[in-house]
Amino acid sequence: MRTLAAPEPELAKRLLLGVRYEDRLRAGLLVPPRGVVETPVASLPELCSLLEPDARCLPAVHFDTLVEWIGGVLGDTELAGRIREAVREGCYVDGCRAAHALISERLAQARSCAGAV
Amino acid sequence: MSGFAGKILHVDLSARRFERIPTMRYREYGGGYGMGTALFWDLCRDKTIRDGRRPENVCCVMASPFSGTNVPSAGGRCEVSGVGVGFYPISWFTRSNFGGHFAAMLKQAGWDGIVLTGRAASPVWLDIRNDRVALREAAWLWGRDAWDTQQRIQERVAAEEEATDGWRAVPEGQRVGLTTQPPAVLAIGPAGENRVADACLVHGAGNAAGQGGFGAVWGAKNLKAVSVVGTGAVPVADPAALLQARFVAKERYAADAEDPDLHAWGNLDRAPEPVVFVKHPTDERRTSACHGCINGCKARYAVGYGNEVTCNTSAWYVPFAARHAGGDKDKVAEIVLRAGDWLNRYGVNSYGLSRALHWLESLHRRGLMGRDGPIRSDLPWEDLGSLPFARELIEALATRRDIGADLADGWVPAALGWGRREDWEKGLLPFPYWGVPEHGYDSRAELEWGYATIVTERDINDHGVNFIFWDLNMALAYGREPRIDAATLARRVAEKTTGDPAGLDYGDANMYSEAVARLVRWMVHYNRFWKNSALLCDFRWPNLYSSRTPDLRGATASPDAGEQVFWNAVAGEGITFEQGLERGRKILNLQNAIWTLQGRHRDLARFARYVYETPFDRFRFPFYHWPTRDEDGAWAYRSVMGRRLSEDGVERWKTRYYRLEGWDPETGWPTRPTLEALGLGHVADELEAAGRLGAAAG
Ligand code: SF4
Repeated sequence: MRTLAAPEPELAKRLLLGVRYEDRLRAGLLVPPRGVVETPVASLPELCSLLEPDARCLPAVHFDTLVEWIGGVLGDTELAGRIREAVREGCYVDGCRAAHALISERLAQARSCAGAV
Repeated sequence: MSGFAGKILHVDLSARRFERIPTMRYREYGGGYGMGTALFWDLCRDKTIRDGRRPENVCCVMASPFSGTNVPSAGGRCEVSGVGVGFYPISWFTRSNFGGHFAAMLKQAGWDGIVLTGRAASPVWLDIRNDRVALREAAWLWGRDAWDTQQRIQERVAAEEEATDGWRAVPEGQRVGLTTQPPAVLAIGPAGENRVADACLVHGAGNAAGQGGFGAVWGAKNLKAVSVVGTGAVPVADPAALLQARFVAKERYAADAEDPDLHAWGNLDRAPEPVVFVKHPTDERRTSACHGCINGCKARYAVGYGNEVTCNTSAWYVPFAARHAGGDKDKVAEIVLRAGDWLNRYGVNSYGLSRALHWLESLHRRGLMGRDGPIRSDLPWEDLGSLPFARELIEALATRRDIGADLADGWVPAALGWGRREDWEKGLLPFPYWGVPEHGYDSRAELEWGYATIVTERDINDHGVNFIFWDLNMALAYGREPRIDAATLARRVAEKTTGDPAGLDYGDANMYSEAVARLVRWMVHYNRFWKNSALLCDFRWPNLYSSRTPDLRGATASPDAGEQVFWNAVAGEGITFEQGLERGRKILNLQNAIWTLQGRHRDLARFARYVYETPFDRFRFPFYHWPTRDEDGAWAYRSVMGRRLSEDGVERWKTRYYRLEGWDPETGWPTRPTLEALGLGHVADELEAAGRLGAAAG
């Protein structure tokens, strides 16, 4: 898998700190048989945690909305583009796993970049 | 009289008097909500009350013949009924339910239920030791949380009983019974004492009767707790038949605990896995279950917190804790589970919070709530997501402090009082019916959930048909072929329910049809008797289909492990499954008579505006598929997202439903012919005297 280019410090900071309340990603968590719990997301660490594979519950997120939010609101067009490609194949859960892998990679980059600043 | 203990304890709290009511008188109602409804009808002196905190309210805590037996996923459920608190526009006569082992212990003590009337002059707790019953002063318990209360009562009872080698002596008639068990206690916390709408009754660590505000009902009655210890047994008519049916249920329909099929379709065959929304805090845990359950859904942990924090109690704070913890799942789990503990201790229901906390946050963010906002709140909203904030919020709600003062009468009444009607109507406060929160299934997509709720009285919380959503949409999410195709599923469900597969067609063209009304009617009759009265657990029953059986048929109504098999084995009757449904119909009619006296009219049975005005969007989960038919009648699983309900369509649907029930379609009130045919002529008389008897069809 191609690695993502290292983010600029400003982008890294934005990814870690998150966005304004009104700009959060609308998402949820789904656990049988309780239903969907609305779980809006403001930052990359939160998103990474939401998408982390878990046998007991599933993230509830729409991939188009996710890609738009990462590219538009977080301003990470590279990550958004890679996720758009990655979720094209396979089922929804495969898509979540693929998105999670990319987001984890970006999160590690952002953390190391922020640590270096 | 097998299955039953034979007597119901009536406690007149005002007069501090006890009465034994022969269960025989109410036997046909089964137990639970059915008996609670009939007892309410007979004992409530003013059925027009609209707030459960009134002293006229009659609150019943009822077991069933199944309680204390090993009927699968039934032996430990207990039902509470009475007029509720905090609904909108009227707090209806309603119900709630909790698990654990209280109902089993009640039966072992020789009682089928407890009826609470009046109001004690000062705080009391009810001490039941077999047939010895006492109301005891509870000033020393008042102010204590629900856990502390249970523990102190258990210690006191233990101290008062003789014990030898761990065996305690409890009087049993003229004899002495022996037990190693502490009493089972059902208690209120501070929320109940302060009579707030979200107050629960709590038993054990986390078994709670949450919906309906029954904690507030007990608080208003000055009743802090009921403790029961019993040394008897439950008489079972045909133990061999019961064991045989249980073996069949376990072997043929239930999950194989050694090798569970994680993708099975059906509900009896769910793997025994705790229903917890966060990561388990430790691997040192065990699954815990209600009395007699064949696949428990709760967990206990070696870490000392989060025990039995299950389902919604483990969900409501997740989004906020996740943000606060920056996505660290271990931290999130600890915050959420500890916050769940606080809810259980204060005795606060989590359902309202899970839907309304986003709304409260938005009020704060919009500058409408806070230290300087028009809605005054001194809570540290900037700390939302932290454990201290959760505790402060729970404490405020439980003690009527800060915004808790306004929320004490319910979420929708508070929103209206704050001038935020718009938020409710637009769905920012997603309370779609009767002023209670949406459960997690949207009425615009999942028809039976919403419809069954508006023709009854509270969030229906019935997963019988709803499991289709899970089985199907999880399969789609994992890219698996559905285990059962749409046409077969519709046929299998029809065989168990109305006989008409069209009821399962949730497509746009069939949303308001009579077939859907028939399915909802079946579901309501089923839950009135088999679930809410016989007390089969909603998580496991009805079992309408099963990928575990070769013919894909579930256990429901089956000759080897159907509901009626268990009933007849335990209660010694010879009823059919359908006769159970008919009992459910009778119970529903009696309940509708109570709602009618309380002020029910069909015009009140409406969804919140957003359900009619805003399409159900797909921001949360990309699938919401259900079985549907196309114009040629071909079945397929299709998405039912992006739609809303039309007012006209819902009104037409209601008319169909009322006609099917034999109710007056103009008002939704019961009619004399329907009531008399059910042996409820006296109910018709009372409605007529009140000027609220429905007009019979001409
Ligand atoms: S499934 Fe859960 S709630 Fe139902 S009876 Fe079993 S343990 Fe109790």
